[in-house]
Amino acid sequence: MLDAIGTEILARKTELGNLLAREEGKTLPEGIGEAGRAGQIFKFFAGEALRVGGEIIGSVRPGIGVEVTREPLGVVAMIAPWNFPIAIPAWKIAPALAFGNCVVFKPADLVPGCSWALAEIISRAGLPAGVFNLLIGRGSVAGQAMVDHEEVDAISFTGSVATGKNIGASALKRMAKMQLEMGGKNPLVVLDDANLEQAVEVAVQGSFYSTGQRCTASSRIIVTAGIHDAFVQRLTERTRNLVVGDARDAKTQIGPVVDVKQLEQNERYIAIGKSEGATLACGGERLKREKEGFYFSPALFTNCDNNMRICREEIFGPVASVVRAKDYDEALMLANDTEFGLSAGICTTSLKYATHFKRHIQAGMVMVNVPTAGVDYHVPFGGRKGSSYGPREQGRYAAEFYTTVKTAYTLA
Amino acid sequence: MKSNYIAGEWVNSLRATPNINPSDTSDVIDEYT
Repeated sequence: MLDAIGTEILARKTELGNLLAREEGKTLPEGIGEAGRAGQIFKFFAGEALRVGGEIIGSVRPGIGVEVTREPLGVVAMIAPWNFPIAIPAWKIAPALAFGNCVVFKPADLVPGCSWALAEIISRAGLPAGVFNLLIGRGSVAGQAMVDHEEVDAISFTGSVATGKNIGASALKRMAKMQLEMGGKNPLVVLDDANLEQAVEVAVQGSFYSTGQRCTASSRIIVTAGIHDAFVQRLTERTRNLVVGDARDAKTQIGPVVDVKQLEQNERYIAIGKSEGATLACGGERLKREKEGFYFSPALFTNCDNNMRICREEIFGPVASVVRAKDYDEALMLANDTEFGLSAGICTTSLKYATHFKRHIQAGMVMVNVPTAGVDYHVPFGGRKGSSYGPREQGRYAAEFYTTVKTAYTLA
Repeated sequence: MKSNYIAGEWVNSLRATPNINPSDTSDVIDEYT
């Protein structure tokens, strides 16, 4: 069934990607790519369903055998965000079903189209009635009811820090298992020895693509002194030349912001950054296009201090801040100076610094010479510190959340 | 209106919310329960 779901998603990825671009504002290539990823996730977990293993271990007592097995949790409630309307639902639903659970899935009410389309595909897959359920509604009402329901055994949440903390507190009251993926303030460190053009592309991709609306976006760009001025000049030019427009226009590189609320939040942070003394090198303005939409020019702040609010709080838009560092040691210190720990990146040609950074950065995912945003579907996704709570999502590690372990002793 | 899917059935609710295209706010993709 999971394989058939994946096959249909892949066969319809252009149609689904178009819907995604239309409702969320990702560009068409990004939307089609995300739909394809959702299909691959279902196919991956179709295989994982057959690979749920266990252990047979000897006992310390004579004549007794010990079996360690994995079992489903029961009913899993899922609350998904608006920024990945088909990939995140896929990476929650597919492993839950693969490991034998029932699902109550609530998409973001802001972008329910892809989730509804996914649910419609799943509804024809042959699952018994009640194994998969779609519940569209407001988080404060439908989401809270799911979290508080005594027959919900586990909760998988992706969204804001504030909502994640509330869900965590509610789940803990009744000892429900939980997995919370929340915010990020992801650093990209650029060292003196970096390839300048590569570093600029890594920064542009990580900071502004998908309109910066990714929890893994590079929102803090920490640049060492020797390359700082040349990097800032080149990055400013590249950012200024990004084409903002209709998500489904072939010329568009940056689609619109998802809604007016997010647009206003971006504008508030532009004002905050200016009031804190950062230099707005480019962007940060509403844009007019042929049709009325939530268009916003990618914003680059320079001369930032890591203690500024624009460097500490998640903006969730196409807004990046450049912080100057004296050397690698200071850059690493600044990169770790955050309450978050989701993704981090470094641009360098030095094996020594790349290796040291991978070991010492406090993040769940580390990227060397690639953007902080953009991950594979078959390996673990998640962070540490204030970004995440509970077992990882995706890949084989998903079994840690969607199963529980049983140890059986038999005297035969 | 696009419905919820509960216990194997498509179920409407009294409330429907429009899904708006952020590239063109005059474009309503559909209404969702």
